[in-house]
Amino acid sequence: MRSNYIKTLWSLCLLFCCITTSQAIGPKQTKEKTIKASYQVKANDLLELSNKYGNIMIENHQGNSIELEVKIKAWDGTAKKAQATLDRISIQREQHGRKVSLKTMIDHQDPNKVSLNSSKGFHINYVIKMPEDMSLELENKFGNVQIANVLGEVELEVKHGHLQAGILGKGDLEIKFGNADIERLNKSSSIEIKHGNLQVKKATKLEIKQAHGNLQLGEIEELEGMVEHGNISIEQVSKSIKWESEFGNFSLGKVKTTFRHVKIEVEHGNVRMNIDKAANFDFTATTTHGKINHNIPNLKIDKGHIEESAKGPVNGGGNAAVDIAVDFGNISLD
Amino acid sequence: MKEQKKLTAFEHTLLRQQQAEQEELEQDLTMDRLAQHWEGISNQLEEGIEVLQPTTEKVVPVRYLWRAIAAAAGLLLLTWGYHFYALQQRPSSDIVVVKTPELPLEIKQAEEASFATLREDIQQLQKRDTAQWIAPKTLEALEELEEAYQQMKNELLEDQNGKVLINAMLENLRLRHHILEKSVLQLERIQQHSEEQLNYKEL
Repeated sequence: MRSNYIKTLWSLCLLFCCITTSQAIGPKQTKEKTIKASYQVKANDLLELSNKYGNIMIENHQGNSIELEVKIKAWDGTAKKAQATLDRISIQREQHGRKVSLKTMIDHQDPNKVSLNSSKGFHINYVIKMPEDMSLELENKFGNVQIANVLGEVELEVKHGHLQAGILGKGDLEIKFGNADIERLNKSSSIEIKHGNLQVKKATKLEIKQAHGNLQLGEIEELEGMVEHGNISIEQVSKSIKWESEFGNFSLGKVKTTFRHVKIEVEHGNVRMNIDKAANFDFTATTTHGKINHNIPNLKIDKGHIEESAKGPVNGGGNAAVDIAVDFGNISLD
Repeated sequence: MKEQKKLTAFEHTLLRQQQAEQEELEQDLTMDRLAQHWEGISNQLEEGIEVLQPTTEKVVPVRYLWRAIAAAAGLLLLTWGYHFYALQQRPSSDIVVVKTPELPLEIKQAEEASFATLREDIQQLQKRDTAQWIAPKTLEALEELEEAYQQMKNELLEDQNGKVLINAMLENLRLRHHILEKSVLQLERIQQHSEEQLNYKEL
């Protein structure tokens, strides 16, 4: 199977080289157009934005307006063809009530004339300035998204591109085939990410669903999530965490004394955790095909053939609880 | 000579008389036949029987023939005119010939090569993963990637932004191979671990 994999990668690399070479050889004529517009808005108004084949950058400013600048660039073998491509692209702009809608429209070309010539193409880049106390619904494909702060409700769908965001309000985010890096999520939020890594530095209440990528979280109050095929590293949880993961290691740097519940289920991965020494809680841990290591005084480990378990009160027990269940992995408590 | 001439003159007179008598007789005969024919028709009409065309060859006047040709041509023109009008009135989408768009040969070849090895690797994984440790989830992920690939293929045909889409399609294929490769490694690790535990149990 490995030889198949290498063989296919080689053929894909060769095809990629063909494309890039054709780009280098072919002549390239470019045509550009810039669209500028301004919309008066109030606090909590919604910006709805849909784009593909380009980047979106949203910056904050102090005024009560949305300032839009879209740069569209098309290139082809001749200036006429580049212009024809440019002419098929337009931005549909509307303002109704408390909503501003911006949508990239691309007229379809004759599907019978597909060209592999890479000297032909286009991109559509948005730069938007808006006040931070607004809501945002954004959809972007084949391009990166960079957002400063949006403190209202935020709904993002980013595919085949990376997301970088500052402070967001209540968020509902979907990222596919790209990484996401978020500074802070102020309100209850959910993130679904596939085939990419996720980093969130700070969040209050967060729900995560991730597949085929690593997760790195900072300070989180309440966390619930599931990761398949990826490693998880969390700096700190202060209230609760309910976690399930498969095929990846789980590491939680610090569980604060203020926590109520920690529930971790991991298959095919190790769990490493540090709980505040002063915390009092009831502890339960079981693993099959693995070992348990801990430094909690007076807590005995029961060892079976394929299973190990430990159960008991820590610092006299209390209202908080820690439950860890692992299949094919070790449990370590620092 | 005079006698011969006299005879001849006499003969001529006789001949003229005979001809006149014959013509008179023929005229009488024709009149009789015509009278008989009309009498027959009159009888048939009286009896209410449809008059049959005489079996003898009918001579159609040339002016009637032209009228018939003109009528046929008019009818033909009307039919053609109607069809032309109907064709013009039909919505244009109805008469567009839909062709199946095709991808460039380079992509087709890369697709075929990649799909062939993917099929082979999937079969191997399914064969080896008898306990269904990892194969179902891996197949689910591969199906999702296939869906994304097909969507990009459609976008490539419609939007014609070749470089971006082809790169993304190649990345999709590379991801699929990477997932399969990783799944096999994980499966090997699980199987090895299970065997070790089993041996430990037997000891």
